Amino acid sequence: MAPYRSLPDAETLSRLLYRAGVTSNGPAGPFAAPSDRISILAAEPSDGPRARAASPVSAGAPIAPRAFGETEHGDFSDVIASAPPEEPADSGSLPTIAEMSEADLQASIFGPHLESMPTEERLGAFVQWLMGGTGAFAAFVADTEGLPLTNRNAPESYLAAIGPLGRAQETIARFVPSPEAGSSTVELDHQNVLQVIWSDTAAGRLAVGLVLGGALDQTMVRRIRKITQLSMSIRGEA
Amino acid sequence: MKVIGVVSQKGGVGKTTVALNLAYALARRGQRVLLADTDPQGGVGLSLQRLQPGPGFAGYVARKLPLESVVVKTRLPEFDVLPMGNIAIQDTHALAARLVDGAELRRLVSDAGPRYGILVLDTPSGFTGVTLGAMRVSTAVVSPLQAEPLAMRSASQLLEVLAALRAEGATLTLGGFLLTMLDLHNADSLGVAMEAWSDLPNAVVFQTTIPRDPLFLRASGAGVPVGLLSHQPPPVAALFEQAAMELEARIGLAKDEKDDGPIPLFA
Ligand SMILES: Nc1ncnc2c1ncn2[C@@H]1O[C@H](COP(=O)(O)OP(=O)(O)OP(=O)(O)O)[C@@H](O)[C@H]1O
Ligand SMILES: [Mg+2]
Repeated sequence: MAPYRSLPDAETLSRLLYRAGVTSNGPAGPFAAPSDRISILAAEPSDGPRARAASPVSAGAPIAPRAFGETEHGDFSDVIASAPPEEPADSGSLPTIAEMSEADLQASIFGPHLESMPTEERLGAFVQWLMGGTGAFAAFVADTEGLPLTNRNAPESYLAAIGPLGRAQETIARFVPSPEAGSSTVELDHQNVLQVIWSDTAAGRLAVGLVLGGALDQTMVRRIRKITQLSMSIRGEA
Repeated sequence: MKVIGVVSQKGGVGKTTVALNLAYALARRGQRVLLADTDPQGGVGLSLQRLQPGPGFAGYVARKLPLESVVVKTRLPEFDVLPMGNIAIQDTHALAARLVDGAELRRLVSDAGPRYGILVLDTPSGFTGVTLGAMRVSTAVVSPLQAEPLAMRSASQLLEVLAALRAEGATLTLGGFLLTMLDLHNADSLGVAMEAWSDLPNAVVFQTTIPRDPLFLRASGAGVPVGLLSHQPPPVAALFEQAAMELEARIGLAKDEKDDGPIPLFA
């Protein structure tokens, strides 16, 4: 036995564990699930942890009116940090996203069975990849009205910004040579940006929104657009 | 809302580090989390160096400011922080006295209840005034157990305090001991871990362990959870995600409690 042992002997310990509410029925008794004894000290919010359901992929879903700033979480302030220091990309053996071939990139996101994957799963894999691959704090895919198909971490108000941004993009495309489904970057407080990348997909025009420390370059933007299209491609067409 | 008190007898065992990183990990997992610093010496405030000075918890208590006006938002919409705030050194004692009876903490719990799913309380070390006040309002306590000789002594002390509080009628449970600063290459450090695993019921020792890693120093120097040390978070950040998952299961916060069976691996 270790010389620094400092728990009491087994019997004293099991009595102590019982009194401390760790074991439920006397010394050496089985451990009772803690949830049996948890007291709820304040009203339990009925919704539990927020689980944003993806809205149906079908076009023509009803559009709920939504005001700006409706969320209680208006911004991503940098309490925890201003943008973490940009670390030089790992120049080791792994190819960067920009260097990967399209097929490899697709396989790394969706695995080998993109065609048989339900759209929700594709979107889930896509957003997961977006967060990891771009270092975004929040990522979502939304329609032109800002209704999310999938969303990780973005407050409602950011989604609500999508509608006006998309309309601005279309208007701007009439004046300067730029694609209607282009991309734009909005400077946010606290050195973050909201980057919105539009793509025309089998399910109509969609926006990928990212909240990150700095805008992505054109290569990444084009790749993301391509993957958005793949995510929404009609099965068998991918 | 569940209230998680992060407590320990000994100082410097990593309470603030655990409170911050666990709270951040829970928020990343989609829980709405408020991390509150109840240490008048300002543990969380100190570790978040970029925090602008503000009224904080001290202002909430002393000036009855509304909770929304004293919490500080973070990069994660799910995660807010209530730092101790500005407090003159000569006032720390008076403030601590007001936190002891638990009334101010109960007010915090009821104000936070509608807006958050989890309130994490960082506490001063030792089982004295403020910490006991925090334990009285906690649903469960998590105690970092520094994997160093004599650590198990503080484990028994925590059990004694839990027993005393429960005898008083408190209903808090032991969320678990979390082994921290574990050095697998050091026999003493490993000895503590072995003792914890062999002598305490499995259900009260987190399976996840936190290694001794200089990244934690770097992170507290930079005032961030380890998950925000760089765009590619270091692997240790994943340990806190794992600890957060364990905690969710222990205190009944798991998103879907029913076991829906194995999900086919092959499409
Ligand atoms: N796993 C770890 N590995 C290495 N260093 C760590 C680890 N966890 C915490 N530290 C460092 O140890 C020091 C003490 O940690 P921390 O402030 O979290 O302890 P504490 O229990 O809150 O202390 P106090 O009792 O003073 O409030 C800090 O400098 C922190 O960065
Ligand atoms: Mg501390």
